Amino acid sequence: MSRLPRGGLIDRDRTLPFTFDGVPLNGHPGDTLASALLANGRHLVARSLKYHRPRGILSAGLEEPCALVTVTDASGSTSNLKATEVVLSDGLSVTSQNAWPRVDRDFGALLQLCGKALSAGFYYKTFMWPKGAWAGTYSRVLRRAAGHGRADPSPDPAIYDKRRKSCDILVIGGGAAGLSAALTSAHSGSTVVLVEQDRLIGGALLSSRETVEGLSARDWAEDAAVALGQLSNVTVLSRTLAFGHYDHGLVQAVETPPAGGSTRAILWKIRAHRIILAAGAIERPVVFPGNDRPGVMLAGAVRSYVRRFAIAPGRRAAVAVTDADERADTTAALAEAGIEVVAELEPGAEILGTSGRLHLRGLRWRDGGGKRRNVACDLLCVSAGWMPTAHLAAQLGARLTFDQVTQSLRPAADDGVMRPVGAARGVLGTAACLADGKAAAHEVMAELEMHKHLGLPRPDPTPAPAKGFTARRGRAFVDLQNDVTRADLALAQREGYRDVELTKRYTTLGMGTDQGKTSWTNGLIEISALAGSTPAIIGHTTYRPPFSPVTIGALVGTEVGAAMLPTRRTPFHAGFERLDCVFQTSGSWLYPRYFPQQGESMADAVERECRAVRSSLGCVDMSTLGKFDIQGPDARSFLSRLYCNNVATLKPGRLRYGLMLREDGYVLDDGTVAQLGDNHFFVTATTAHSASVWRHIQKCAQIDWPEMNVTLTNVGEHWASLAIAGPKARELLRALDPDFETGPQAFPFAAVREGILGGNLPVRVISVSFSGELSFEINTPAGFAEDLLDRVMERGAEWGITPYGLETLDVLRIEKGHLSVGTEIDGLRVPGDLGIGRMVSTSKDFVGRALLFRPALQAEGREQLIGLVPEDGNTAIPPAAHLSTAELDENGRAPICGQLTAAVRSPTLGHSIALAFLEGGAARMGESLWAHSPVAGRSVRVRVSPTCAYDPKGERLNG
Amino acid sequence: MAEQPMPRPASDAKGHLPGRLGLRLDEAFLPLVQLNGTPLALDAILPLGTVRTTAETLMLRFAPTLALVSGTVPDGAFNMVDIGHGFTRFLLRGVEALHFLGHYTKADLHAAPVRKAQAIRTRLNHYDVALWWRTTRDVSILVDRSLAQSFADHLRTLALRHDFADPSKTPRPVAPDAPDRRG
Repeated sequence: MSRLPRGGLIDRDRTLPFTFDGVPLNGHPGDTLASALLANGRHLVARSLKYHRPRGILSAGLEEPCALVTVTDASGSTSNLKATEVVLSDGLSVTSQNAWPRVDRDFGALLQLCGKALSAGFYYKTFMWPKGAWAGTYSRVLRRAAGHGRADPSPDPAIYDKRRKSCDILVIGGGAAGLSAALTSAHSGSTVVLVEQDRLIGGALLSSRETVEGLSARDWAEDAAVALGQLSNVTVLSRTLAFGHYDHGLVQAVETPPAGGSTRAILWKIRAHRIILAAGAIERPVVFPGNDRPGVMLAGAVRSYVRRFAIAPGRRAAVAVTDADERADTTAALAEAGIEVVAELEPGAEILGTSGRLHLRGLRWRDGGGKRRNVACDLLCVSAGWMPTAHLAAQLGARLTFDQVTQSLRPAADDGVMRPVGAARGVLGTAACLADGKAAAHEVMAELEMHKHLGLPRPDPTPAPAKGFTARRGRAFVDLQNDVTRADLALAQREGYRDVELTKRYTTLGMGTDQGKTSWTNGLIEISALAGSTPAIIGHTTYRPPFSPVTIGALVGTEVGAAMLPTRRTPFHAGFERLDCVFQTSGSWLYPRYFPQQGESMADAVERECRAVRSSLGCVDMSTLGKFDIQGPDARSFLSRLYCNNVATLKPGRLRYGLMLREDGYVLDDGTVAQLGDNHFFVTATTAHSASVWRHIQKCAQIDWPEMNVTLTNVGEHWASLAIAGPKARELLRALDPDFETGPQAFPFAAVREGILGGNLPVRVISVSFSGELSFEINTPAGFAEDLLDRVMERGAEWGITPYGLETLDVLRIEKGHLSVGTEIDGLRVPGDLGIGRMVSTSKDFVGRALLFRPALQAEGREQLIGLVPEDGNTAIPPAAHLSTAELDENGRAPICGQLTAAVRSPTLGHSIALAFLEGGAARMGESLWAHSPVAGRSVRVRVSPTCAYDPKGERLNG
Repeated sequence: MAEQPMPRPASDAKGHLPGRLGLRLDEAFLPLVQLNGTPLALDAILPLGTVRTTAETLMLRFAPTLALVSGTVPDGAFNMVDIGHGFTRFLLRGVEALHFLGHYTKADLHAAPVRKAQAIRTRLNHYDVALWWRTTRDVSILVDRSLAQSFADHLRTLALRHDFADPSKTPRPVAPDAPDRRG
């Protein structure tokens, strides 16, 4: 065990058992998985991606490139988790990745023998022939060999959530600068959200030995966190990673609540007036031969493991840290842990290499005087400086600039709503970070007019040490996660992949789950040296969200399965459920599809329903239609302009079919216009276009014709609508006991009546038909829908009333050649194409008139709607077929002259019928064509016929 | 005319939501008429974006040219349309009622103008909603009737995702008339 006897921010009173590769181990609350593994003496935790080299734990944070593991808990397994980020909990089962059979004895390690053969571009250069083997063999084998971890295919039982938050100031990062900024902002009265990726607030202060305002840095951080938590205008979100920065001050963050809570992860969408980016900095490793062995750790991580987690990660340590103060702090931390410091390398030393098989055993270097040295050690603390964590600042497209002074990519000081502070802009040192956070907070509050301008000075970025470490040739890893070496970068340069984006894709530098957090700056310096350029000119690749991997469950939230989108139910839904209705989604609606009786298939049910409507009586839910109440002295003129046909001559109590065009002359929608009073109209629109028609008429009223005195009310939700259709419809209406006349003379086709059914049920009844039968749409306020349905079913039983759904509705309307949105009204047709060109008024102006009469829209030979019947009178016409005058040739092709929009078998006619668009169709009645369906794999001979295949004179409407 | 039947509920919302917040969701029928008028005429009875509740009347106004009224309709040159059956009113009650909803609304329910108005028309995840409240523990929610069941199911789903409220995550807003502490 490497746990120190005292110290650290862990709860030693409790023990958390967990397993690693089946071996039982223990940790404490407060541990990360990485610290718990180190405490148990486990340094070797993974194998590298390409060469299967042994890998340990490099860092103590989300930048970790090596220690990727698969964690299994009660809800399943998750691969590729960084051991440094996993908060230890009771009973975790952890397995290593990319190793077989064991992490300490991995057959994949034989790949190391391949040496330089496995260089960048290996796949592309090697697996070139035979060509056919790529898809069948190579890709399958490589796919199996490549990649980290394995996804758990079982459903994830955990629940996730997505929430929103708004604030004046969002502070990202709870270190010295972030706390200072948050406190300053909060004390000035602004609403503040502080997000911190770690479990504890404090950042680097948690492992610092400095003092702040007379307190230890750790105590000061704790006090600050408590103070923030007590303020009502502050929200502190720990364990929350801000991973994406978007337009207008939107930041997305994912919170991982402690185990035992109801939710595994919460995606926060936080919108802030100003964002203070205090995400700190990431320590830069040193690139030298053998720099990937377990036991080589970042110096800051070593300090964190010693002071925060009370762990001695080694017994004999060498220190290779460029900054003198940090070198001293690191040796002090090692001393605190009782670790012997066997070597302190001064900047300028040349590191020659390391030794050891599964763990670091020794270090070789040449000192500043050129003297060759070596030492036995099991821990090497390295640091080449710090890289600002400015990824979020660059995600909106702003470029980071390489600063020669700090030797790092730095963000602009002021980029719209985001202000980098502290180490995120290159300012190191606790005092400077505190001052920077405070000054930045004042600055943004002054911008938001919440505070006067104080003009507090911002500290300058901290210069990097003048000298670093050099290294001799050898296998030195620049990107530890992807096994990218210096040699790979040199190869890319030689082969012409010089642009930084190309280098990244050719070598995989900066890819993977860590996205180059520890590798990119080193890679940039290497590339610029190889290219004879400067890092400032080379630049960087594009930063995109997420900053660090985010569980997909959090992105999905609650929107899974039936809860993916809101579902609209009609007012008759409950009643139809009792009638054993089968529902289907139609847009956002859950619509009745058909009503099967015992043992009936859908086709049987539809045939029965069709016959019932044609022979006696059926009822269908029409509540989903758009319904608009239009009133005012100018209502008639308004409607006359909206519709292309004549509605101005409509009389109270009557109704007319209406056709609405878009401004470009194409058909937008069809519906009905009923006149209820002198200046009062009730308008319907199709279900699919109800929202767009509502937008259209509002736009006309508010923007195009504001001078018209007209008011619009969307009453689609208010009215439930049940159509009763069939020869017995009028008898049923009479049986429902309305307080108005129901005879054919008093209530003819295309009329509207308002009244009361049965003495107490308010209704608005419209005699209109989509089925071609005598039909009445009975509208009643939605809350009374079930009362209406009960009465209709009870009184209609005398005629064997049959409820029917969308399937039957479709068959009936195709028999009649009625138009449907999405099939015939598809956004490409003018009235003439649909066979209703004569409806268009020539004596008035209306929306779409000017462009409707463009020559192209009135040209001969346009596709026109026609009907089709099988030439042999029997064969089924396949849906979605194309029309042609010719048979298919030997290649399965034929010239196309049209296409079907709908095809069904008509139970009434006893054969298949279809609707189709055909070039010049109106003039081709009786012509024989081929209907080719590549989907059905059939071709059928069809004959062009009128669109209306049933009751062409419309005599049944007036029964 | 004999007495009209009772409007049937549009959802099964009746009682406590699951989860640990102890919220209660109930459906209540709200007879509503839409008053259509000019912005000036409507401004005279109710400012835009506000709610007014008296013993006889509830008035909501979220659009310049219309207001929703339940109860006594004010005098004026308005055109009225009954739309009461088109909406479902939910009552969400509990200590965390408004804070719970605030996690999911696009609008910031704790913003000063909203706190003052105690009413807003916004979007709660995928649902268009109108919210109003007299206290943060008793919130009325108006949704399209056809969406009522789906919305109630959605609130149940969301409520399951909450533990006991963490005060640090649900800061209590200061009273609307409290002095502005901003420097």
